[in-house]
Amino acid sequence: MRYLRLFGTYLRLSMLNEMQYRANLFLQLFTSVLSLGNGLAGLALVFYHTQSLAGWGPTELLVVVAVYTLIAGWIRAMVQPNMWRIMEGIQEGALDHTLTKPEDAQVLVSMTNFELWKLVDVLLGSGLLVYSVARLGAQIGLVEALLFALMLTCGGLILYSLWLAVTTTSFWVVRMWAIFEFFDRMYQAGRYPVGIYPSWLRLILTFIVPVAFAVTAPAEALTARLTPQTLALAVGLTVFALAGSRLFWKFGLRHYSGASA
Amino acid sequence: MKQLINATIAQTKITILATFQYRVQEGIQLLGLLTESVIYLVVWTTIARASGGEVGGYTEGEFASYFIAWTFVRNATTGWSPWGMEWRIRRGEFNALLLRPVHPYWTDMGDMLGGKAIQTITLIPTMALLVLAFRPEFTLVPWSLIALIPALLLAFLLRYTLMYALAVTAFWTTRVTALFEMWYAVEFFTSGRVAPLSVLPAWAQSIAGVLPFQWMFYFPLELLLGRLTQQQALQGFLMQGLWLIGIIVLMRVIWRAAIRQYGAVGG
Repeated sequence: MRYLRLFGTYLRLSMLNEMQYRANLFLQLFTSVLSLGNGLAGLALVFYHTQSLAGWGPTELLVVVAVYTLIAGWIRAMVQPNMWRIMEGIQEGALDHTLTKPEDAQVLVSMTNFELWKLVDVLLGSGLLVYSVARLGAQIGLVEALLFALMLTCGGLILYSLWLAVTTTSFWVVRMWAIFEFFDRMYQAGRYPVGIYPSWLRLILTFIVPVAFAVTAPAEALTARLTPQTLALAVGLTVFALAGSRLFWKFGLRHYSGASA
Repeated sequence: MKQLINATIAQTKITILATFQYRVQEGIQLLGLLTESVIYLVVWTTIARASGGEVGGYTEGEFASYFIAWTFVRNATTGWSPWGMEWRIRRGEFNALLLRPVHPYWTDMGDMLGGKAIQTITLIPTMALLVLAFRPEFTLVPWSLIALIPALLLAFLLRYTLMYALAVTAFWTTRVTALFEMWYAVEFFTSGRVAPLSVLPAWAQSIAGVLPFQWMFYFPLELLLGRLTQQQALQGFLMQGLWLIGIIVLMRVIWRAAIRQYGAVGG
């Protein structure tokens, strides 16, 4: 409850900060629309040649792209800026200040910095999601909606944990922008359902860098593909990722000797 | 000219040494390159399989070789980031560079070439792994491979110079991002990055025909794969040369105007 209030405070601060740069909203809108258009054009090119990709039809892949865009927006707005702040803090010593605060360090560093204009992607993704689900004409009852929400939450938490783990490595390795590029590139794999990849790659994209899995599972829930096994796997992976990244973060902190004077 | 080349080579050496210190980062960059190519590779081989073995003149195995060779050509021809330029101008770091007797165009080029030299060393064994994983079909054509060397060099110069010319517009507007996003969107489809140009619909192919992007990527890539006749190769070199002249003129015009415009930021 206290964390929720803290979250609200930081969110308000970010909002005040972003309102100073209103022109950035249009720049972001432009970039987002262009990048979504690019993705859709790529999809159009694929379906110019074939009717289904590994069993997914055009509209179903539209659902995947929608979930991909939605999660990407959430990560870029809510997770990435915080991770950037952590890495910067490790390099320049600002993290020391955070560590002295009387709250849990992981919670604090995960919610102090947001780039709210990037939520444009969440809006675009949701819009596309509604459109594609409507076009699919599928029966989305309460159960499907709840399963989708659960899978989406799992996907978001898995990706957050992955980000935190990658960021934690900067206690040892400094030179951070490469990590951001790496993550963006790996995340691209989620543009397509994880099932299209050959099995060895599918294992990597599910268990080691579960980017594709995080996007595919929610899309499966909406296209009547979700098996009980996938459901169990998603929940299991989420618990494991959250616990693992937290342990790794604690381990990193123990190794950290501070950078400020 | 000799001095300029010496300065470029000196910067190349500096970057090679600097890059060696950051091997982790190199590995990460390589992984990024691989991810992108493997995604396209998987998608297009899947499509080829689903539509009777061939799409746009490429078989399943040929798509595999296309996207494996893709990593090599992309590594050789790209990498310079316009955001770096915007950042330098905003932070005022450009002032010191302008005071040097050598145009930053040359030292930046050296910086890139140094990075590439290292990346190629790590890329080649990785490509061998991709060959094992995806079983590409390819034939190596000796004359084509020799022609690849000047084609890659020209492709690199073309892209680098055009990027530089556009990045220099950051002197007027400190928001070049929007411009580059548009560039990337167009280049994405018309350079052969997302798929071979022959799989595009006819209207998109004719748009690609009048743009310079295929000469910066698709042309050397097809040479590497030995898919061109000697006549097509000669035509390609001619197009590369013509575009290079045009782009150099553009670069000089923009640069002159930009230097007059430049208001230094910071000290």
